[in-house]
Amino acid sequence: MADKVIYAMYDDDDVLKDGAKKLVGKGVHVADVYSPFPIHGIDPIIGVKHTRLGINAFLYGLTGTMLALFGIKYFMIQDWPMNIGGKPSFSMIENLPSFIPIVFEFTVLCAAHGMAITYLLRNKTLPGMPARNPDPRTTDDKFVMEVRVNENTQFSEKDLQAMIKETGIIEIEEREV
Amino acid sequence: MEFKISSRAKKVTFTLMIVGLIAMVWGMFTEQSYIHTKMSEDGTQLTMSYPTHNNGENTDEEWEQFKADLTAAALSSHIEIIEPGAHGHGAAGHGEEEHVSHDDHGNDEGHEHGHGDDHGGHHGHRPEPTWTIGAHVIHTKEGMKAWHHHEDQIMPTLKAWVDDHKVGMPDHQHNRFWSNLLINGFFFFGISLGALFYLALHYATESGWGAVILRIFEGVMLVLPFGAVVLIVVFLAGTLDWNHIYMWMDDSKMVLGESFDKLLYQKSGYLNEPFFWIRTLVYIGVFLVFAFFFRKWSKREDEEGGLKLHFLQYRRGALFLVFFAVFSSMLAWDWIMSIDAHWFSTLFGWYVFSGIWISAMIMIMMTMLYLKSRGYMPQINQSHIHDVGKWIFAISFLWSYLWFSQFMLIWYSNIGEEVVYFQQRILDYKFLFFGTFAINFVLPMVLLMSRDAKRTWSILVVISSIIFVGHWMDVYLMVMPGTIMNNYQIGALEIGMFLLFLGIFIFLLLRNLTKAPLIKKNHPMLDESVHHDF
Amino acid sequence: MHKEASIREPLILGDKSYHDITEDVCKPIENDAPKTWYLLVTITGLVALWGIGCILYLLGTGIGTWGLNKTVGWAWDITNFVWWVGIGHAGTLISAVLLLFRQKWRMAINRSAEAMTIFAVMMAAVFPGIHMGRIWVSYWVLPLPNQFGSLWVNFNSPLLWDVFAISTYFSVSLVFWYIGLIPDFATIRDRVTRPLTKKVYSILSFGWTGNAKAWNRFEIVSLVLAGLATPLVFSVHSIVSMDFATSIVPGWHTTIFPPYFVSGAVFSGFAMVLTLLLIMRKAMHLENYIHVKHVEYMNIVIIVTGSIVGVAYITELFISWYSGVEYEAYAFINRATGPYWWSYWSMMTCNVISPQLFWIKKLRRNLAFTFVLSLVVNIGMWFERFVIIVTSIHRDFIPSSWTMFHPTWVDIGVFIGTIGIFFFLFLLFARFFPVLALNELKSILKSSGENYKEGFGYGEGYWDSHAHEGGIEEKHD
Repeated sequence: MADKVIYAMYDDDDVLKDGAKKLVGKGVHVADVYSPFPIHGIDPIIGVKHTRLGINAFLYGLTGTMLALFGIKYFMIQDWPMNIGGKPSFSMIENLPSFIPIVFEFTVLCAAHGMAITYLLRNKTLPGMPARNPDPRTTDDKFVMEVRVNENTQFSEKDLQAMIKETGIIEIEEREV
Repeated sequence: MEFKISSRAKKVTFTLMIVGLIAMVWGMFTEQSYIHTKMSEDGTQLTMSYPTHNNGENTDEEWEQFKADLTAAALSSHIEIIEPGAHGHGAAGHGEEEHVSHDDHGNDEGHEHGHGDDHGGHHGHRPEPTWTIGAHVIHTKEGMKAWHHHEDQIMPTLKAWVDDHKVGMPDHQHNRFWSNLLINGFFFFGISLGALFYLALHYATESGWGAVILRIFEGVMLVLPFGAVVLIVVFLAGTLDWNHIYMWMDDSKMVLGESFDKLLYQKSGYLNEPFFWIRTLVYIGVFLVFAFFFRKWSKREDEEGGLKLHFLQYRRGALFLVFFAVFSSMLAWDWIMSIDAHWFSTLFGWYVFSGIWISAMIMIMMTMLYLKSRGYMPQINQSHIHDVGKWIFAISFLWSYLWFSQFMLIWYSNIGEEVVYFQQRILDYKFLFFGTFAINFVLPMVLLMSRDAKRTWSILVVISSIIFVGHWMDVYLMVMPGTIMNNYQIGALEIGMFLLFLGIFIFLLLRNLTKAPLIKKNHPMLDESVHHDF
Repeated sequence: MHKEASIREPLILGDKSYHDITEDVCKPIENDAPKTWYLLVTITGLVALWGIGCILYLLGTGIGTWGLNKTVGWAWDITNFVWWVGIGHAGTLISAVLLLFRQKWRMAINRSAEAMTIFAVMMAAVFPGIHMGRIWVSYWVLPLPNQFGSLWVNFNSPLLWDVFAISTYFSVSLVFWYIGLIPDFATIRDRVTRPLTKKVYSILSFGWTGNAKAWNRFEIVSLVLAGLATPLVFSVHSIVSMDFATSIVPGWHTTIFPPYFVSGAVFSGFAMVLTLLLIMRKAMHLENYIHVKHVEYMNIVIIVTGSIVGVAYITELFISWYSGVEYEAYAFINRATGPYWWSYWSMMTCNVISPQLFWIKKLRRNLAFTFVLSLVVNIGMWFERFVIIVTSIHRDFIPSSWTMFHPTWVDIGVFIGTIGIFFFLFLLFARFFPVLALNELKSILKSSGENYKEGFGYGEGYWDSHAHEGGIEEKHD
């Protein structure tokens, strides 16, 4: 079924936040907000959950640490032990201080890139992806609130529009998607 | 809001002090002298020697008493001690040889296991008493039964008794006591100094978030005289030869002769008592003056307001940092690094500084949480706690980074005169040495990484307490191996004195907090700080 | 609600709106480039070509074209390497460390500082690369399975640590920089009209939409990347210092090297940022965004890091005497009084003494003076590396092998060439990329913009009460 979406445009982040708070208070479900920069404090109002990317990064980092440790153990201790600078590589633990730098670097490498890739995939931002912001001005100085009619069936379209119009918008537009 | 010390806080701090004092005194009187043991290569002979000092107070009678004690203890375990050679008291045997070779190679601190002893250097003019023994099982029924198949364990058992102080002689020099006094004096002085440093940093960097907790920094900072007095007592005792923490204070090393130490002689342009005292008094004096004025201006700001005093503190904060940049390294060399006077490391000062800093931040965190839990300082919110938590996390990293840099570079290059420092710590203190690093690094790194952890009081309290002790341990490991070699213990003396100092420190801190409103009144960034939220 | 103390100076001057910020930053990209830009690109391009020519000559002929000799086996090349890596430390420091410290002034400078970082690290990587001689087998530095028997790279070697450190640093900085750029590319994408340009920026912006969830992720990614990049910045130059400090060469082996190199790196990096930004702000009319306060902050960083470096110099000097190791002591006496005394005293003057002038408020707020001093610091930091590297080894343990190092024209040519490539790349960046972080600047406009701070002429604090009539209690920082 075709859905109707109301896009309400604001020219100030605080006004939008105020408006969202009022609308949510009345039981309106705000689907999304488009803005040129992160609006602080909007997430709890419109119910955006906190991302778990941080945990991801930790896990990628841990993987990196393990890979580096096992890799070095294999290369330097098992496969081809060498005697370097009077420090024969007979055991991992005795040579550990000189392995720490690479283990650290590899941990950071895996954590940073793992997280960056996950971030791009989760945001669906990849080279060649089409832009989905409702109005080109949302990357400049305008803020747009997206309200889906389907998600707010307790209100009529008219009421919804009227309620939104009270919140200090500068433009409003309804589209079929 | 005015702060009052609750009767419960009084009770707790006084209990800490009293328990600590009792344990400390008890520990002091059961202290034992260091007896160096060395097993012959074939494992049949054990050589024991007692490093005397110039004015060593252990008498010959006590040495004989020790011998008798050991013989008696052996007998009760069915072992008879025999003396293979005529190595008696004061003989020019092994001990003497070692003694001479040590002085010849002033910087050659290399030694076999167990002899982590460049303070053997203290043994002055008197040759060290040496006693070499062998032993065999007494051929009685019980004896045969007790040691059946374990004959090879006889000598190690005897060695262990001596090493573990099961049999020993009382220590009249109280080396352990003085070392502990230095450890605690320095550790708690460092906490106050760290708070002073951070206060200056806060002003100099125009930070705003912490304006509401600056009074806590002031409170911690003003305990400075306490640590300073303790340190001065330790140095005074060293100067008067009551203790032997600083080997370079031993005059006999400066004159050609048996105890002459070429390296120390070379360093005497820097390491000499008058200059040492000048430096020490300058550091302490400068710190006290800054602390005094920061407090004075801060209180005056409460009354007068205006920006003049704020910018004065901003400028003086920057000035303090200049002094601190130089003094923090130098005091670490003077007070701590010169214990191992032959050894040197350019990073040492910065490493000690990071330890000071983190201990101070932990103290701040604990005070904050305490005051907040008692209903004081409602202006402190979770964001402030989170920020101090971040500092603890970050400085733990910094400390670990500096620890590792110093350790790894010396380990990697493996140059005799440098690596001896770690060799001694690894051979004699292995568990404590690596354990301390592991705890101080891993614990905060893993458990304080997440945002939620830095906002959960229980986690903060537990981790802070553990790494607080961890950083005390770090100071312990800087001092003990140099002063009492492998004769270390963590017993009633250590724990008692730590508790005593902790009790006094907390009490003084709380008393300082009562002397001014807990929140500054006219700090220009107070509003920003009260609304601190991220 | 976040409040900023009124005594703080505004960071964005003038009566700016969100749209003005977009305009000011995007205009230079959309308009035709000025003539001076073409002129500069041509000059730096020629220098770059010259550098590439020198490198090709070097590769074709061999390392013998450098001035190295048996005693001084590392000199000009490694000096340049450390110098460039050092410069490459400011960008990530600004974007990562200052982000963690919530320093808002970083937002005007982080983008170009990071770009500079990336180009500087690229220039640094040139030197070990060409020093290998056979650059086409440079992949041998990686632990790749191979058919030479069980031949692995040596993980005990600080040179291999460098390989990992530099490549990690480079790629993580690049990712960090690019993730910040994506929303700003989207801004340009949504503005430009020419189809080809639109297409290009559309690809570059990865289809960025700017919805709430995306921003939520963006913020956490920036924070975590900053958290990762901070120890990374420390580790990279520490590891570079370990190339020297793990050895037993007097003058190289000293434990203070890691933190002292890091501090020196930040010092030189900030100097280079100042050199570039002072020109850029003028050329691109960004005086309202990068103004005297920003420069003052950077100059304070220069005093602090310069003084730390100074304390480290003195510490090294003192401990070389205190250690009682005569070789160590000689290395330092030789630095100050030996045949390379001039490089030592250039280093001391440029790095320790001259930055102290910034204690004077007038001087640290004087842009022309700052520009000159930033050049002085860059020269000083080059000499620092030269002093450490060359003077420590040119008189080794055998007096008969004592010698001097003289650079050849190839040595000098390659170095000048990398400077050309560096500025060439930076000019391209300034032409086609948003040089300020648009989204970040917009987010601090209300707390640190001059107009908002002064309440649009209604007096201080007007905005605070005015904007929040709706009863918003929470505005997070």
